[in-house]
Amino acid sequence: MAPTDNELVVRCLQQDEYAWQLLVERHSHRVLNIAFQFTGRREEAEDLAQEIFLRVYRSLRRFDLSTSFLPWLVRVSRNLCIDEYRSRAREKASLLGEEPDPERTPDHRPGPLRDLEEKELEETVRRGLEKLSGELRTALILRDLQGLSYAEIAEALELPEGTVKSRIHRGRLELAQILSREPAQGGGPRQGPAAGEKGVKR
Amino acid sequence: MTHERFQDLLSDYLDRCLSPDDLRGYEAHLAECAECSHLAAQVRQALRELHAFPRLEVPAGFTARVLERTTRRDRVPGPWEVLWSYVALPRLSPAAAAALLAIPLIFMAGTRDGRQLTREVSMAAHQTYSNAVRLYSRRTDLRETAVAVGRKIPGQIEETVDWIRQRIGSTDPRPGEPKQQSIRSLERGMNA
Repeated sequence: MAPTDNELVVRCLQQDEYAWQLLVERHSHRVLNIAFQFTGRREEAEDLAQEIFLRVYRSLRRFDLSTSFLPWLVRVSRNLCIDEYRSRAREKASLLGEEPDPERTPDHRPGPLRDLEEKELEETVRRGLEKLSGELRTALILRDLQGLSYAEIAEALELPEGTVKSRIHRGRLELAQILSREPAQGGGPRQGPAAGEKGVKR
Repeated sequence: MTHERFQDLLSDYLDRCLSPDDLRGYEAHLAECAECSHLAAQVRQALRELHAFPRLEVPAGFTARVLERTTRRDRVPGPWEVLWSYVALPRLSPAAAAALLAIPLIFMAGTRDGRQLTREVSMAAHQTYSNAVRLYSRRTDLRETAVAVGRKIPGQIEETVDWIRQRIGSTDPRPGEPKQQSIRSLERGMNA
């Protein structure tokens, strides 16, 4: 039977490097994607994920073993991502809205071709998420991209579950409005699922 | 069901956690209200696009790179690294160089070879210190620099002592002058 996260943390605190390796392997995918989803940039995701693990490793002694590891890991990840986001926002402001240079944002995914449609969708969703406030974006990423339960998100964000639920609800509504205003892939008008339905009266 | 109530329940409906009563009322309103039906479709579409957001695969060697940055950096440094991490601090480097100079002066002062050796060691110590400063100028991380310089120092001291031994070995000993004993003392002092 595989050891639980908390058992691995205990072994890490006893200087068991193999336990730390197992913990990193177990959560690499999640941490890497949290970094990617918060920054929206593939090329920065790995560096940020490494920073997250570095901070986690140094903070292991502060982890409360009576709680679950995953929400704590998510909290550490999210805090670092927000720091990174703010620092990048300051940098961006100082560059007066300089457009990202495609040459500097290469796609490192293996394989000869990257599906254009997927790339456009990724860009649309990334822009939509960026337009949300930080608290709504965080709630939406943790719920709909990371698939955490309301209880896990509440624990990670140290908020009441009702607040989390409300933020997710508002985030979904706002994102839907933002995305409905985005041009459809290919530049034409967006053909949403509501096309053909009666117009909105509200 | 009102529009407002419908909107409040929308997320619960999408998460499939409505009570049976709410679900019946919700679906009835959905069927008869185009406005709310459109809103629900918009949110469903947004969630579909969100769920289609690509996931990154963990790149090869990621775990190894994380381990390199965590466990290996936190390993217990060797005694030379610990010593040098203090000695190599910029404000202490001149003192370290002075201490290196003082060693031959203490053991060899007063003899002819001692004076010669003092000059030679002084030059060697100065050279060693200059090397350390040069390494400093190339590196920005203080701790890394200290460790890197610390790793080089033992080899440099051995080379220095060998060099001194060769230089002094070429002169004849004078009766009563403890040349070999002083060299050994010098080595003991440096290895202390």
